[in-house]
Amino acid sequence: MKYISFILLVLMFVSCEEEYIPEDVFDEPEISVEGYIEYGDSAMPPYVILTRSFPYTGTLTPAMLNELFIHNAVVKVTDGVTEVQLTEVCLNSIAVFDSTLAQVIAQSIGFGNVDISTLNYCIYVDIGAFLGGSLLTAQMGRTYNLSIIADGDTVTASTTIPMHIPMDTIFYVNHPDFPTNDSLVEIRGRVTDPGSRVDYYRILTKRNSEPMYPLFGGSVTDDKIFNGRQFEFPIQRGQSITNEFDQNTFGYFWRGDTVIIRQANIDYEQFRFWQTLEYNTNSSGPFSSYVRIESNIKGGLGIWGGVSVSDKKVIIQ
Amino acid sequence: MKNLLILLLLLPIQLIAQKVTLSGYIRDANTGEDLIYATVYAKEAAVGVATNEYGFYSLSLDKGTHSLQVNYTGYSVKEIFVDMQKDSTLNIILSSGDLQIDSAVIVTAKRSNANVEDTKMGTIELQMDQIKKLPVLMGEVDILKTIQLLPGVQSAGEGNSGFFVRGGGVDQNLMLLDEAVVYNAGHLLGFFSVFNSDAIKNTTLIKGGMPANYGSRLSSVIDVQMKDGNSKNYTLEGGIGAISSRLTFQGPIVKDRSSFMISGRRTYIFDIAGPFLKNTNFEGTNYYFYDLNIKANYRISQKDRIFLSGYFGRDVLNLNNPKRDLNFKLNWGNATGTLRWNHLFSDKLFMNATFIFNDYDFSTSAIQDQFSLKLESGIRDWGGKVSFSYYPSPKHQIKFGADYTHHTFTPNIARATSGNEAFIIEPAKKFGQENGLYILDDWNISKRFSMNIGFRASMFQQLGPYKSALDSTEYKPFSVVKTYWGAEPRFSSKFSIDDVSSLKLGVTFGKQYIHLVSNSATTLPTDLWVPSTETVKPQWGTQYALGYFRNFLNDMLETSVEVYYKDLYNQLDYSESFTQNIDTEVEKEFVSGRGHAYGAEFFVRKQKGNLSGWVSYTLSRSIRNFEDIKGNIFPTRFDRLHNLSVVASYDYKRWNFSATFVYGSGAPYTPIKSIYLVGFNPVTEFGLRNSARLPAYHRADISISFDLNKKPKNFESYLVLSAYNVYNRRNVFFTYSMPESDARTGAVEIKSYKVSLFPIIPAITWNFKWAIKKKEEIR
Repeated sequence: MKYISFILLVLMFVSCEEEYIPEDVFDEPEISVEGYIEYGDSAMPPYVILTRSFPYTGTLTPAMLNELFIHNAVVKVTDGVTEVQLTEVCLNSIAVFDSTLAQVIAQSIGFGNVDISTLNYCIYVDIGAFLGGSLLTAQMGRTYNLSIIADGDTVTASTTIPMHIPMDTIFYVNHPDFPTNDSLVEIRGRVTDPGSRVDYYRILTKRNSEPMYPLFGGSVTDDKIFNGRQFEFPIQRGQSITNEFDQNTFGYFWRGDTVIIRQANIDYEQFRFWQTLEYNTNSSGPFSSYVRIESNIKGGLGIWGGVSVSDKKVIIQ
Repeated sequence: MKNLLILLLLLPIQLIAQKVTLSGYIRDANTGEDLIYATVYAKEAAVGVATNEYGFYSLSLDKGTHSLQVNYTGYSVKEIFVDMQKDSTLNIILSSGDLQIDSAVIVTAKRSNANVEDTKMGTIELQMDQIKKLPVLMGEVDILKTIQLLPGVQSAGEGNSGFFVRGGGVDQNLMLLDEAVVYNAGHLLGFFSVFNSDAIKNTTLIKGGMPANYGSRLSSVIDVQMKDGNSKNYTLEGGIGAISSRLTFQGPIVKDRSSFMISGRRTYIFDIAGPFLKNTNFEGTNYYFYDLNIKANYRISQKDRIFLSGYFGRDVLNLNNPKRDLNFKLNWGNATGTLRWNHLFSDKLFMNATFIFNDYDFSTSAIQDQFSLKLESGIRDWGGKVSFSYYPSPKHQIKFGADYTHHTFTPNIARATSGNEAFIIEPAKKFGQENGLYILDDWNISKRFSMNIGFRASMFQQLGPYKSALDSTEYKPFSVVKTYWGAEPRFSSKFSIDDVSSLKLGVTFGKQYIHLVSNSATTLPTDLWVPSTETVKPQWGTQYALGYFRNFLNDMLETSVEVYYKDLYNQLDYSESFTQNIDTEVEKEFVSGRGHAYGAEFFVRKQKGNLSGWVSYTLSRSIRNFEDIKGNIFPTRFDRLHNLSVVASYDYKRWNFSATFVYGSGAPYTPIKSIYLVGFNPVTEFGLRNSARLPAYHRADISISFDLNKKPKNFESYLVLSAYNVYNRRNVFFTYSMPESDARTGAVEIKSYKVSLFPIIPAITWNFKWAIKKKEEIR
């Protein structure tokens, strides 16, 4: 579909665009949930970020972001046997005690290199995991329910951590235009899919000190095309959606990069969340329609996702 | 069974034995082309008839002398005196080109008020001469864009040839080219239609009161006939335009007995651009489309004639990026073929039998290094029709017939390779057959009152091989999986108030068994046709229409007001979270619901004289109600409250000046309701479907054509200069929003942009016509 729009771009060189203020149909803020329960070597303890949706007209400054966090919510996670209540932790208060830990947490949950000393970013986290062992353990094949009570509203969700299928290998090959282009390389991965069930994959990449970004052009796939087989595929470098798109370098890595490839298995509901989300951000032309993001959150927006995860590192020489 | 039916219909001939029958064909003097829907009117008897789709007429008259008036829009009116003593054949030749009918004829030309007299409603015929004068985008004459200027027809968008009729979906238009269905009538994502104007003789749009001989679509019929080929002289005509060139060659095979026509068109803009792409990221990239129309006919005897016609057209994109070792190809197109046999059983009974084949296929492939992905989809039909026109008396014109179509639907078949490994997703093809049986009578009950009453019985069967998604039953080839049928009554009537005005009423019930749902403003080559199955139900609908028709100034001005109301059931759309993936079975992504559409259409047309044109205004709504779509009730994306078109064309000596103006209310779109954060990135939550509007659309186009010959010669040529969007209106084509971050402050702003596509676009086209043999005297 993207290529169809591309034909247009090529041919309709005469088009013109200008900025405008669209119709504002915002009514009231909704609760947005982003929470994960992860299994794997690099897994984080269960955590949830609670924010509110906001009108899309106007500018969002880091200071305004502070206002979006929902405080004093009651956030509980249960596997049906054990229930834990997550504790609200704000990064600036952690930073008072341990700035390195605060920075590590900020990095892990995708806040990147923001200056946490001035910002009050808060998450709900299973604090027990940091204090030497949680009552709740993340296990593959198990279902975890989330319940949130915030400002009188109740939000619930349910997710399953699927079985993990680690990548067989990752490696890199020269740029197609080598040796003319000897600075860029393409990373590839190989995976052997078990044939007995439908598996859903999500891949993220991290280059040097950059944050972890989802794979460029779509981070999730099911196994319909390679069910039960070994499959080799190119891994397109993820990048920030606000970065300029460079048609010469997108997808490639540079020699000298240290790259981490994160391979996550997710359940169907989470697969659909990311699939619709990525379509949602991609579809903006006349030849595509809006896509409403499919969420597993009842009473709100966002995702409560079970993940089985493994990281692989490659140093490009 | 068939013989019995014919026998029954022939019986009334015995009862009206004093009458004699005059029958024959009406043809163009220069080209020998049959003229469709030309009228023959016997003045004293005050009876008349129109030629059918093959130019045949049959008129029962009392014995004695009659003066006949023969009329066809754009042609001189002809008066003929006949002394009728026995059944006779009279082929009538009409001359075109001379639009200035002398005033004496205008006074007596009563049958030029066909729009008032006819029982037909919501039917408009367009002749190529009219269409060719109008200004067009990039100089490409396009019948589908002219149709968009008519009342009740909504354009799919800026510069697009796609359209919606009276609030119905894009798949509800039956597009026929010499009786074969054209499934995707757009080139270049719909900016140009597949109908090459040089190869086309006649176009009829039926948007309401669809007669029973048409079926399988709910909203409209666009019936396009190719030229038969000049049976008198060889002619070569063509044109050189801004983006494409055309060439048509036609002539007799055996003079006055058989003729042929071959017509081609191809774009070349990227062929010219090719050298400039060398050493760029797009070296080797090309895009073009072409059309090829061919037709031949042979008059075996006075009673038998065969026609063979075919259309082949393709769009080809080859996107190359040698620097990334990437090659991407798109290739899609239609092919149609029709073999027809016209036979006259008697001077009152005309038969046409047709064998039809048509195919639409789409393929795309992407290759990068050792990885490749190829996708194929399409629809292929074959079938036959037999139709009879029977003229038992001047009061009745009966049509009856049957049709059969076998469909093969190819869903997306995906083949991927990674090195030597191949990965194939091959969803099963689906099969279906569609049958129709119909009879209709155009019945002149009295001088004032007439009606067209018809009935169509339709049946659709999903055929095997198929594995049921519901109970896993396996069906063998040609076994029936599911049967649907429909009884489709059709009715329209006319009541003449006086000689110049009439009231018409129509009710049409229709069923549609195959479907296409598109998520874009128009159909895309990737959109899939799917059959009704055990899970997808047929669409059906009823249309009620009421019209008042009145002519002024001796039929110089035709005016009409039509109001309509449509109920639509089992309408299909994609779910709101639909994402098109290579392996998606689209049927599983459908949601269904009800729809209704209503409107009023005002039309004023002037066809005669130096100044011709029309004004069309439509006030309408098109609404859907879907349980599975948030908010349930929403306007369709082609809902426009106001729609105005003004078309004017003025002939002055060797010049023609034409202009069009269009105005439409803003198109609905789905607005962004709010933003929330996922992974620290802004994500959009949409509001209710189509709950916001773009600004109103308006545009004016002009064209000037100049005949380069002072006198008619064997070689004639003319220049057409046109300007699209002459006052450079920035109409919004689409809008998009994207987050923009400020690295200094860390602030993120979602910015919205509106994109307009075409500024003022001038174009020049040179057209020529070369009569290779000397023009002969008109008989």
